[in-house]
Amino acid sequence: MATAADMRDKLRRLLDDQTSSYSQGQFWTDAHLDLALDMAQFAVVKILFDKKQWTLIDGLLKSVSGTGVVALPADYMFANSAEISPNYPTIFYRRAALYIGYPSESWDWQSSKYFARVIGANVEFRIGGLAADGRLHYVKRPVAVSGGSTHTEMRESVYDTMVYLAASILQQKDFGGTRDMPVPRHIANFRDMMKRMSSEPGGVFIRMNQSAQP
Amino acid sequence: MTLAQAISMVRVMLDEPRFEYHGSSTAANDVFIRALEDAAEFCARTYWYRGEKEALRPLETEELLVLAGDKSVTPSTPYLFVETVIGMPDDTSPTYYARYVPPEKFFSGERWNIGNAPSATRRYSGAFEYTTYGGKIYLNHPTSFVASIRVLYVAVPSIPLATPLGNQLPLAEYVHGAIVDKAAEILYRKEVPGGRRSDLGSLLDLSVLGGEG
Repeated sequence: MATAADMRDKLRRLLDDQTSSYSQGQFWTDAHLDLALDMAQFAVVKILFDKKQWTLIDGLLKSVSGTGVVALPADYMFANSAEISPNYPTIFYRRAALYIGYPSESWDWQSSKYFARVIGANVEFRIGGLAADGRLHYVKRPVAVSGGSTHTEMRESVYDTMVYLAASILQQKDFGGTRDMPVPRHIANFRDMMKRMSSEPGGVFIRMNQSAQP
Repeated sequence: MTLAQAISMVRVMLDEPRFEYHGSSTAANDVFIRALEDAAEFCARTYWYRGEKEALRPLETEELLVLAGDKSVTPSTPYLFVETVIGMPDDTSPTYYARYVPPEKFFSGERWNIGNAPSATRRYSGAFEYTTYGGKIYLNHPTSFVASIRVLYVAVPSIPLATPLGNQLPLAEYVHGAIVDKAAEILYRKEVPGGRRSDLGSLLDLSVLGGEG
């Protein structure tokens, strides 16, 4: 389990901001560290989602279901996919097309029979022009890094990696003062770790599936 | 991310958390707000061209405009990109979806002077068409068919100087980091002429970070 305190500690070590109790916190405050970790967290979640590394962020994958117009949950961040159950109340979901749209857009031109549309604070499930029973899979907003927060939504390695991105954000403060001097490039570490992480979990997932085979 | 948090992070990225260069006055905050506004527009354009509609959802605007015989209308909020123009003869009749035509074609005389009958020298497509130019939406409509239009557009992200510092940045929350990064780059370039010696501006660019850039 990753904690905000652990991440802040690791971040300060990367930034070489641990030398003395006097100087610690003078150069970067805890609030700055938390903000940088949050910025890094949003970026990492989006990248891993786009790369379909869903096993790494499985704690963030949620769904909401209902009929017709359904309010988006408060923790909604962005949509993943949608399904429609054509024979409600018999629950048998089929993949639906997903649109990000406006209220006045016509349903007529939608090419799919089953579709869902995220509009403002709602999602609408439709079969053709009729309200339908459906389910929207979405990515929730991760828990913000602050104070004594604990983080279990993603794999430990993701939190370890995002600390490097946060370090490279905060490191810009060092660049500002020493523009002509070579400084450690944590962004390179971050990219390497992301690359490695992206190549691994898919393999794990396949192995899990294979082990279930007779 | 709130405006106050964004300003605080831009200051950190510029090595400016102790207010040595810009100071801590309201006027100093205005410098950062202007940069954040420009950065938000830059990011909105970037995400539009990448097809990342989810990031632009907070900017999506829908407006009903009565034409009253006009051939051009101006939405109440400046638009960044017009997505759809729907013409409506009245409340009950079917609606017409307008087709976008680039301004250079639209104003070439073939479509703009729709009041004039088609002739050997003036062709007319017969379709309901629009173009966007100079903050306005131009239509080739015959006014007897289209009394009002409904415009669906992505608004220009705006952060007025009087915005309370507790307000959220425009665009979706997961791209706020990219806005802060870009704002820092804008101010960094203002301060440091010449070569690029910083990672600012590409730190939180998702396509670069994700290895697609």
